[in-house]
Amino acid sequence: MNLAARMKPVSPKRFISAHSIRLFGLAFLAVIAWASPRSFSQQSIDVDKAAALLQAGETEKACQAYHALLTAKPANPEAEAGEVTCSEQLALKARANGDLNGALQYLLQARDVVPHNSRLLYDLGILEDQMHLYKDADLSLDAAGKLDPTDSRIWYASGRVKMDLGQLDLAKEKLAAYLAVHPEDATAHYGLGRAYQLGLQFDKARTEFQRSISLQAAQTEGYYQLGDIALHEGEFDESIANFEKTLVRNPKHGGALAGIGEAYFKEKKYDKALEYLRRAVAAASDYQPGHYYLGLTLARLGKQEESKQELSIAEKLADDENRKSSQHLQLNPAVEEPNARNR
Amino acid sequence: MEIASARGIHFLHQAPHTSKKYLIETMGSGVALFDCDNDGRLDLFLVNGAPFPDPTPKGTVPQKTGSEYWNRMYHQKKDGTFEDVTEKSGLKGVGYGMGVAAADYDNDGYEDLYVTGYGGNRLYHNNGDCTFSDVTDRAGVGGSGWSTSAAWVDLDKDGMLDLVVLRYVEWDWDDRWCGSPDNRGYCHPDVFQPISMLVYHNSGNGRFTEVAKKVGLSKPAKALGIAVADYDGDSWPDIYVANDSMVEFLFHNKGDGTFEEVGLSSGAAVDGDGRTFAGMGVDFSDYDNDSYPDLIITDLANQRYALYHNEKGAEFNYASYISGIGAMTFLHSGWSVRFLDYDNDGWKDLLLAQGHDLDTVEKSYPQLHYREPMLLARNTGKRFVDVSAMSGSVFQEKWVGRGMAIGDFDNDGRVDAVVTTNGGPAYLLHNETESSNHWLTLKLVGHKSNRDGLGSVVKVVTSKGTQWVTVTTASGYLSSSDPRAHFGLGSDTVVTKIEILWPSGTVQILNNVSADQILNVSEAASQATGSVQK
Repeated sequence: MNLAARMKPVSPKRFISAHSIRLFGLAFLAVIAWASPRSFSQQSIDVDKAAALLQAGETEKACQAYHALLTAKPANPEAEAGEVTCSEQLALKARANGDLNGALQYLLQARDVVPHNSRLLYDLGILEDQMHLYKDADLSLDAAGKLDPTDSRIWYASGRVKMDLGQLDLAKEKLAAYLAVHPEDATAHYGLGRAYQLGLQFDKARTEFQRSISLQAAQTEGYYQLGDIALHEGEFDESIANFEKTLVRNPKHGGALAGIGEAYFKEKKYDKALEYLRRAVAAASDYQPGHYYLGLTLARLGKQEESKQELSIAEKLADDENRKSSQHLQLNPAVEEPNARNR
Repeated sequence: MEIASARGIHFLHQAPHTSKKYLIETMGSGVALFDCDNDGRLDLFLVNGAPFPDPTPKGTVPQKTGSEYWNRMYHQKKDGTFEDVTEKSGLKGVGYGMGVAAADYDNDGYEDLYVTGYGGNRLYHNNGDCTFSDVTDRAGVGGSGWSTSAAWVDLDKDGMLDLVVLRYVEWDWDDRWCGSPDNRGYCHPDVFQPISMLVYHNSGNGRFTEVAKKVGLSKPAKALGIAVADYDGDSWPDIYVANDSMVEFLFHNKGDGTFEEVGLSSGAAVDGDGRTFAGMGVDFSDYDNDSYPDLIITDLANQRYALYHNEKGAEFNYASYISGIGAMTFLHSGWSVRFLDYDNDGWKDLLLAQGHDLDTVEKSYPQLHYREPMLLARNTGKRFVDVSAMSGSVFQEKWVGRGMAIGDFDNDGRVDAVVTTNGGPAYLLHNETESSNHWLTLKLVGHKSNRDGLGSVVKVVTSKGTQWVTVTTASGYLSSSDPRAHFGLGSDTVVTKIEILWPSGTVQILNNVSADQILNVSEAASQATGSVQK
């Protein structure tokens, strides 16, 4: 959420238009001032006060002021802009401190009084996605997209969320639309590759990952996914080669270490498998496939007790993941056990 | 082609849909294809539900209150139509039925039925004329809890069929809200505790003894599907259990009266990434003709059905990706499944009943569907290919598919199927695949072995190659299939050798058997070689 990046310069034409509106607004205010001489001018003062607080770095107070203003008198454009700005700042700060729930609260509160702001909805969608609240993220980004259909960043973010929801066709559509405008975006090519990969369209996935790498050679994930595809296709030499490239930049990449281990396991090279799988679980103790294949490898090497321990860990991690994944959809504060079979 | 109505089958599964979204509402029911009077024609038994109120008090065991809830027994007549003989058969049933397993448990020559359900199961002894007597209490096999699939299998090879009864979860009519505030859904099985299966050893006098713990089969599970085969070639039947959202179980028969659960270490408990899935239906059959039975397990959308290739009995390799099964099933939810050679080319294909378990799934996930068409996947010998679209209009129809039994009901050499749907009709799928390929069906009659020959491994050799079939009625989900061993022979008109390994240990060999017939094979008194021609 880079606020500086979002400040669009106002063109002279737009400025003139804005100026006209302001003049009209002032005239309008002059008329209304007869009806409620204090309310509008008071509002104007309050907005200025809030802006001053924000300028002075008193972000919380500024937010409170804007919020109160908008609660009493919704749809004040300056107050709305201020509300969005200050809540963004607070959310960014909370997120930087690892308090995602806090960040979410700030944005949700802002949305209560500024329900139709594409920038706010975009921010909210990004955060909800990060918190695995995919359905909420989807709703936020859909709403943002309707308010600003030309913002390609929303297409990208929405594509990622659609992927998290398993709506692969829509994910591919949105990411492809983004890439039509930003063809040199390596991350987006990677994202589109993932969408193809999840739908088992390995050839197309491979193309996108390779494109991502060509645009940004200094990365790990593109190589990792190429390794994963090759592993699924039974091309073990190719998979190992790509996983090794992943390790060049990140020697402790648990997935790559486990992937090499799995490849050696399937080639029945159990000693080599053991070496890499031990490194995998040391590097990523929560990575379930690492424990699983380590357990299998140990069994093949006759180390039954240790095999049972590893398989037991793998089983427990699988159960934990099961439980977590059923909740990665939507906030349900009113519901005790949001464990429906929505997968 | 779907011909249930045309053949006189008018069945509607009763599954109340309440505001409480009780999980049992969506789990469907099973079907059995078996010959109830030995007239050579397959008959049909369909399991039905029972009413329960909204809400239902805890501790309730639903009871059938009228004919719309009866299980249904259909006898096939000479003209190929089916007659509803439910009332005179004595098979109306009681309670909320789930699954069925057919076999001749007392070796008297007539197929009996075991019907599972919620709150208790029933054993019906065939009187010899397609009428049945409820012998549950005498036999001691009533069970308790929520039972699902069951399988008849001679666990200790004493010549008498034992009974393995799966149970799903510890469950009562709790009012648990699962899902979002505006979209209540069926609860995930993670919400409930696992429960062990029931295993009844056949004592031979019409009585059974529950021995799950004694034999090592009492590991708590969330069991829905069961399949039986000797996966490691040691001549003892092993058992695979499809569990919902936990590790799957493979019980290795140690041959000493006990079993050891080896799912994880064998590689058949989780998917290729080490993750669990919602296992529901299962089949255990050799799809690549290397003599080792392989596994297919269905699950929910976004999980991919799990195909495991048996690596010479030592371990299983997750083959969903390279086989093509993964890609074609990613968005589908599957229940009953069977390997079957639908086109008689010598390669076992796959037929699956599909449909999501959540009736509101499209609200949250528009790419997923509650009602889905059947899936037919053709085995090319190298991979599986989805041929549903070119296999008849029935594959365009969308159902809430659950149980399925396969069998050649019109004895034309092409394997047919019956499918049940949750809260809907049963469908009779007549296989009308046009082909010049030949076939052979074997009906085994055991003497030293159990009379149905269940557990026999039949090897068929032709000029094109060799195939293996394990004789079983258990497979898929909640259902019981025709026990006759069917082989597609391609262009071969003669089977050069048939080798039958009976559960008794007898190896019986038949040479030069003509194709395109249903052959009754009686178990030889000792190792025997014979020659059979049409």
